[in-house]
Amino acid sequence: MQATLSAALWGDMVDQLPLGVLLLDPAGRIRGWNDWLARHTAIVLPAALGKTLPELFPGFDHPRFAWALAEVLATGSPQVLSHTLNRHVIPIRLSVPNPYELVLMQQKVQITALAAEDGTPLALVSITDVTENVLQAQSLIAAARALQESSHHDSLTGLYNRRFMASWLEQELKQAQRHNYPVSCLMLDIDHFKRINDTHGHAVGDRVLRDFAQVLGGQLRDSDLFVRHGGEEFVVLLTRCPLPEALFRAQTLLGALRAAAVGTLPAGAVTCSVGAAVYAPDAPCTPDALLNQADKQLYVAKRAGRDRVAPASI
Amino acid sequence: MKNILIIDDSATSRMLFKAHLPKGHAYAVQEAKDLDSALAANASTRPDLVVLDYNMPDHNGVEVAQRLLATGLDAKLALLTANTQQAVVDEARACGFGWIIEKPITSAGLAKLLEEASR
Amino acid sequence: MILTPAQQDALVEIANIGAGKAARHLSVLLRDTVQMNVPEVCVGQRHELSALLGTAPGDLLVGVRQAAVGMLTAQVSLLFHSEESQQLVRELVGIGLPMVGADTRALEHDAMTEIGNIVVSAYVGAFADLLGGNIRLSLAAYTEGDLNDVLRHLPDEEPDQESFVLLLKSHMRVMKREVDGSLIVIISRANLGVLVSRIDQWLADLQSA
Repeated sequence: MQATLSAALWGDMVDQLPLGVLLLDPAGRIRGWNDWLARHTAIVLPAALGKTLPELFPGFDHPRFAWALAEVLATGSPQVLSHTLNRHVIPIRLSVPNPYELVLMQQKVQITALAAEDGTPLALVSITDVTENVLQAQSLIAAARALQESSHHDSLTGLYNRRFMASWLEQELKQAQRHNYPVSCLMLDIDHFKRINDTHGHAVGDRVLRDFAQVLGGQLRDSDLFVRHGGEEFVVLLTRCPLPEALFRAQTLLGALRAAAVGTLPAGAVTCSVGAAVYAPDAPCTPDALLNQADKQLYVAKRAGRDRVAPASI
Repeated sequence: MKNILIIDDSATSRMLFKAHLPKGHAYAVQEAKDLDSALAANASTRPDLVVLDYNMPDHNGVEVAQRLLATGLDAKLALLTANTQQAVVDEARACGFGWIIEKPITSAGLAKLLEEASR
Repeated sequence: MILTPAQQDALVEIANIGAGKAARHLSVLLRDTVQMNVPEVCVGQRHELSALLGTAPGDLLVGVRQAAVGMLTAQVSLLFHSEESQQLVRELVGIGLPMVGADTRALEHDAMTEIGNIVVSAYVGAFADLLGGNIRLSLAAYTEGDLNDVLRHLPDEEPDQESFVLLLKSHMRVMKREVDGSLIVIISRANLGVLVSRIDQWLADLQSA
């Protein structure tokens, strides 16, 4: 016959686990707090019992944790909180400095349901310290990110670059065909940019490019993609946008540009021409064909006198 | 307040709405399942309160409301949605919705809406 | 098993509420607007799943699986088409490159597990809320591979019975990405019968209210 372990022995075991163990009741009050938590937070068990997390950690505000907790208590089903999307739940300061300026312990959290003897539902929160893994991954990510920034963004304007656009557009057009929606493409070119550069110098030219990006960017939506295509040429990709709407939006962009002081130049001094084309899912074409079509229209707009959109209407 | 128009592509959802109305109510409830039937219902009954589902196949509830307003709808607006994320709430408020009701609808939630809307 | 139009409509509305809740919770977590369309719902036999999903043999899928017990007793998985969803997770983790070693793969899996867990909970919660009754879920487990790999982990609850699949397909737009996610409910004939009669009862109650 096997001896049953005593409650005290179980308690000792929970205290010796290499992870934080926290028990919360439906009112959010702490009903259990293991040694690991006491050691790392410097809050001893008697000080923690009966308190809520915001009482112990002023400013504790974690909507995802609150919802996960409510979900576990209401349904009895577990929830996981990844480090990647949450960073941490319980704020614990790191004592050893690190090169990535992490101040708080990085955590992975799991919440499962328990019931007290009287049937009260309880939430068992287990907290794993993943700071080590994060630091290891950070060094890889830092290297990757430096590469990515330079490979995805244009350093002068901060817009996406041509290379990013190529991979994004290919995916986007596949999606557009699968889900049957149009994608419009605007090719923009600043009028007489060479003259601006020659008259005012390259520093002003650069400011014009940056301000141009900012003024037009302010008119775009989250779902639009704004790209510096090269030199003074830009591309705006409008998803789920048919051509008539794209032409209307292009006019809005031109209007905003005319009304803005760009670089050190007064409002109205900088204009641009726009060529528009659409990817229709019933007549699919390649990303290059879409860009070429917009480029052709840009030429039409330039030849017709600049500061305008081509086609003028459909 | 007497005429209510409920616009939802789901027959189940419209049934849920009606099932949660107060017992013995005297509202005349019209139903519409899409923009076209909503336009027709608005033209025929002139509702006092329009309750719209947010997530519908062709136009979302706010877009349908905008179309109705453009054709001269003069009614209070309530949005019915499980998706109460901030972007949706902001979009609805900007369009003039007075109430955002979380799905699934409850009798208490509906009673509160009717009480407030009849003020 | 063929659903009546009323049962089909009821399932779409339950799925719609689940998708709406999932979108809201994801938007809080991701601090970004999440758009979700009205889900498509269909029922078929387990062996028809590949055709219903529209995947080709060898297509890579990633997601989570959780066992549900209670009013809905079934194996529930949420699967994403990997190319898009891996892009999404990479953006969340802050990596934009296909390189990077095993250390960050673990972080990606954790993020995917949490996202899947949220979506599964929201859908299953909508079933429980609307139809009444409890559904308990097991811990979410990360899963990846082609459809056969993914299904291999799902045991037949009653091997002597043919099993069915209830498929809720939804389309989500988040962080400039279009992501297709499918909730796959593998369910025995008996348990599907329980679910459908529960829906019939619910609809009858609503009609007589």
